[in-house]
Amino acid sequence: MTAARLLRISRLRLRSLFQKYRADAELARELAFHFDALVQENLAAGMAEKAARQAAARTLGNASLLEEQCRDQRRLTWFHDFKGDARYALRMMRNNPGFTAIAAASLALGIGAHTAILGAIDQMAFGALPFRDPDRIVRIRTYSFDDPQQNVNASLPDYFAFKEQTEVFERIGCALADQKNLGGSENGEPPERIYGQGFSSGVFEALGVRPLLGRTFADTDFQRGPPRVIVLSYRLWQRHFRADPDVVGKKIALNGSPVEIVGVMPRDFRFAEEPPEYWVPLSPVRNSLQAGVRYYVIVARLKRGRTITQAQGELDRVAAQLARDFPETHVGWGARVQPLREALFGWITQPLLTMEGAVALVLLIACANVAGLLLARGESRRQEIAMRVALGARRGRILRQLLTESLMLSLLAAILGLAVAWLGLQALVKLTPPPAAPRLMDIPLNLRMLVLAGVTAVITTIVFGAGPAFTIERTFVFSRVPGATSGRRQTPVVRAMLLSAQIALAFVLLVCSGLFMKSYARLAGRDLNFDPRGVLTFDFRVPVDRFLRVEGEYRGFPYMAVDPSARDRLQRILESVRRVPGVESIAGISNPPVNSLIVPTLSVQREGAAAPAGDTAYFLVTPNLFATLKTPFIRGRDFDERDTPGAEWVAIVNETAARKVWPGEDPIGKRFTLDSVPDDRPRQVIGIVRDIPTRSRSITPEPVIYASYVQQPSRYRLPWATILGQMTFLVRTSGSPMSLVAPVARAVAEVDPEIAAANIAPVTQYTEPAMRELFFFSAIMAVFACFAAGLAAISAYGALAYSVSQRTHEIGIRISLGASPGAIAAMMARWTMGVAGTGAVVGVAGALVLTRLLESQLWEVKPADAGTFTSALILLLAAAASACVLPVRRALRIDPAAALRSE
Amino acid sequence: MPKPSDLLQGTLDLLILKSLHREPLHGWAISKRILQLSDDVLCVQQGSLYPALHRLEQQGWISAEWKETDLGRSAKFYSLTRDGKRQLERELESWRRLSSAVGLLLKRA
Repeated sequence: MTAARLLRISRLRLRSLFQKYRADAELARELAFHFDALVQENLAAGMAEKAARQAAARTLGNASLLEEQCRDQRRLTWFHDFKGDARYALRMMRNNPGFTAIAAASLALGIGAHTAILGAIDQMAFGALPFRDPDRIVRIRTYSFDDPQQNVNASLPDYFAFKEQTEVFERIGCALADQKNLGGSENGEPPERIYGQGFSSGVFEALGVRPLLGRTFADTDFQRGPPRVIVLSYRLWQRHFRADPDVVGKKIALNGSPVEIVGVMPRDFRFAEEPPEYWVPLSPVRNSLQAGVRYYVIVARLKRGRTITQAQGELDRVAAQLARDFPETHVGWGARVQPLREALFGWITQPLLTMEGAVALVLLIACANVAGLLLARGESRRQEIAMRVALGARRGRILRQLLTESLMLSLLAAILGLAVAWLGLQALVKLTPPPAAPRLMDIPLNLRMLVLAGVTAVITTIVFGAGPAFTIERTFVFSRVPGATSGRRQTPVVRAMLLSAQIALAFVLLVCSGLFMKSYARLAGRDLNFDPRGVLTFDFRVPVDRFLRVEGEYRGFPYMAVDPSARDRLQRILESVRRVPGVESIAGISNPPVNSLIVPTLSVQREGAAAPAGDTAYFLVTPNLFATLKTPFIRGRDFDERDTPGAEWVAIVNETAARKVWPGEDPIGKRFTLDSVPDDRPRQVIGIVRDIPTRSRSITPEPVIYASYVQQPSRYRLPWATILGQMTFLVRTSGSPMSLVAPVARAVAEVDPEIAAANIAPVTQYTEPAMRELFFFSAIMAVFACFAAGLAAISAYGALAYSVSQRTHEIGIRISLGASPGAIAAMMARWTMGVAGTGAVVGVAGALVLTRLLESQLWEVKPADAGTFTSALILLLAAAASACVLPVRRALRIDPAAALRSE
Repeated sequence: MPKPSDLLQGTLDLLILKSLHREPLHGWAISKRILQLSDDVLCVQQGSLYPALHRLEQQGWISAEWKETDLGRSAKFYSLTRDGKRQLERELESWRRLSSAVGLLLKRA
C-alpha cells in the first residue's frame, strides 16, 4: 500500500468517525442529485411531473437501505454499533443497581488482586535493575547433594577455583558480610555498629555500577590488614553524615582506626538480601582464618555472548575437580549459576506465585458467579431479545450486544480493580515481613499495571461473557415469538455446571488456606519452654582477629589457638550489664535460642559406646541461662561457680537429647565426648532441661547439648571456633525491656568502646518474624477463600431462588395434590446439594493435586491433611445448605390457589 | 439485459474505474457512461453503483469532490487517484487474462 493511499484512507476514516453527520448529509445530497436526474430524465421522456417522481422513486428503491449500504462501506459500522451498545449497556447497569454492584464488586476484587500481584511479579521479572547489562550478572552458589534446594554461599577454595579454572566470566569477585564500629561523626552523630560487606577486587566491576560520589576501589586499596578506605551506602551517608556533599576524602574512625571515605553508592544499589551500609576492600587469602567456611558471596559477569548454560558447564567441571582436590570438604557438593534476578527475588517468587494462583481461582469464581447472574438475567430478557430478532437483528449482532454489556461491566470492574490493586500493593508492602518490603516498596502503579488491568478485564469478559451470550442467544433466538415460553432450555444445565465449578474452586481455596492456617497454628502453638516477656537481647562479637590465631589445618579446616581474652570480655559484659538498674538477671548463649540461621552441630560419642550417637545442636552458655529464661529443669542442676576450667567438665542436655542419646537410661552422671577437637575433654551430664526450640520454623525439637563457655579447649577448628567469641545476651528486666536499651548499650560500651552491642531488641525478634510471615500469608489466603466460598454461596442462592420462581406453578400443583412440606423442601434442596456434591468431588480431586505444589511452604502439615479437607468440605456444604434456606422457605409458602391462577 | 448481480464479481469496479479514466464524473453520469459505452447492454442499478463508489472511495482508488455541473447544480464528482490508475491497470490486465481464457475455452470446447 502506498503512503498516499494510506493517508487518504485514514483521512476518510477519521472523517467518518468525527464528521459523521456531515458525511451522512453529503450522502443524502448525492442520492438526491441522482433522484433529481432520474426525474429530469422521466420528464424529458414525456411523463407528467407526478408520474415522473413516482417512477424515479420506484427506480431508486428503498432509499434508507441504500444509504445504509453506502455507510457500511465506511467500515466503521462496528464502532457506531459499539457506541450504541455501550450506551444501552450503561442504561441496563443503571437500571439494575443490585446486579451491577454484586457483579462489578466481585470482578473488581479479582481483577484488582490479580493486577497487584502480577504487578509485583512483573516488577521483579522485568523491572529495571540499577546495573549495567544486568542479564550478564550472575551469582555462584554451592549446594550439598543431600539438600540440593538449599543454596549455600562459597568457600575461598571454591572462589579461587571458579576464578582461575573458568573462562566464561569477564570479571569475578567475592563479598563477605562484615560489621564494624563506626566512630562519631564531626557533626555530632554518636558512634554506632554498622553492617556492611567486604568486596574483593572485581565485584563492583562485575556488577557494573557507578558511585554517586567519588570512586569505588582501586587496585592499590586491596591490601592485607584493616581497611584504609570505605565506600558508604546512600543510607549511611544520609543518616550518619547528613548527606554531606563533601564527604569524599574525609576520614572516619572504623574499629578505632582512621579510614578514608572514597565514595558513596547510589540509593538503589544492593544485590544481597540485607542492604549493606558500607563496603570495604576485601583481600581473600587462601589460608585465611575463614577459608573453609562457605560464607563468601561470589558475583561474576559473563563475557559477552556467553550463556548461563555454558557457565554452568564450566562450574560442573570445576566442582568435580574441587571434590578431587579437597575430598574432606567438597565431596558431595556442587555449584550452580544463578542469574541476578533469581538471586535477588527468587525466594519471594514462590509465595507470590501461590498468591497469584489463589487470586486466579478467585477471579475464575467471580467470573462463574457473574456468568450465572448474566444467565439468570438473560431469562428475563427473553422478550427483548426475541423482539430484536423479529426486527431483523442477526445472530452476530445480538452476541455482540450481549458481549458489549459484559465488557462494560468488566471495564467498570477494572477501574474499581485499579483502586483495589493500589490498596493491595500498600498492604503487601506494609504486611510483608521486613526483608521483602524494601523491594516491594518501589512498585509504582504504572502504565503497565493499567494495561494489565485492562487486559485482565477483556479476558475476564470473554471468560464470563461468552458462555452466557451464546447460551442466551441460542436459547432465545430459536423461540422467535415474543413471550413464548417454549424453546430449548439450556440455561439450567449451564448454571449447574457453573455452580459446580465455583464450588470446586472454592473448595480448593478453602483447603489451601486451611493448610496455611494449620501451619500457623502449629507454629504459634508450639511450646517455647521459656518466658519471652520482658527479655531483652543483644549480640556481642569479639572480632576473630583478636582471639583466634591459625595454627594449622585439621580435616581441611584451619585449626586455631583460642586466646582466653575473648572469654574474659564476655565475662565482663555479664558483670557490667548486671549492675544496670532494672536488670533482674542476665545470661548468655552462643547463638540465639530460637534461631533461623545456622546452628552448630557436633557428633556425640558416649563413653564406652562403639559408635557416635549422632549429631546434636551445640550451644555454649553462661550460668543462670535457664533461670533467666524461666526454662524448667526436669532434673539436675544449672552451671554455677563450681564449674571452673580446672574442675570436671560438665554439660546440660535437653529432653530430646536425653531420650535420643541415652534411650531408656538416666543421663545424669553419664559422660560423653564431642568431636570438635582432639583435646575436648569428656563431659559429665549434670542436668536435663525442657526443649527450647532451636529453629524458628520447626516444631520438631532437636537434641541439644549445652556446655559452659568457660570449660573449653584452648585450640579449636573452624567453622565453629568463632562461637568462642560471640554471645547473645538475654536480659530479664523488671519493667519494659525497651526502656533498658540505652542503659544496656552504655554498659556494654564501658567494657569495650570498640565493640558495640548489636541487635538490641526484645527476644521476640527471634521468635516472631517467621510467625508474622506465616500469619500474613494464611490471613491473605483465608480472605481469598472466604470470599470465594461467599461467592459460591451467593451463586447457589441465586440459582435456587430462580428455580423456585420458575417452578411456582409446578410447586403449587404438588402442594395442592398433598405433597408434604418436607417433600417440597427435599425436592428443592436436592438440586443444590447434588450440584454442591459434584463440585466437592471435583474440588477434592483438584485440591489433592494442587496442594502438593504448596508442600515446601507448609510447616509440619501434610498437603493431603485429612482434617483440613474434612473441615473445608463441611464448611462448603454448610454454606450451600444455608443458601437453600430462603428459597426453600419461599417455596413452602407458595399458595397453591394463587400459583395455579398465575398462569 | 443482465442484472448487476449477473456481472462477474469485481467487474463493476473495473467498469467504474474505466469510465472515470478520461475525466471526473458524478454517479449519475457514470451509470449513463457505462450504459452508453456498452450500447445499452450494461445497466448498473443505483443500488449497486453507490455502495461500489463508496467502497472504491474508502479503499483509496477514487477521490470525491463537490463541483458544479454544466447545468449549475453541485454534484459529487469522482476521479481516479494515482493509486486508482495503477489499480485500473491491474484490473484490466486480469480481465484480459480472464476473457482470453474464456474465449479460448469457448473456441476449443
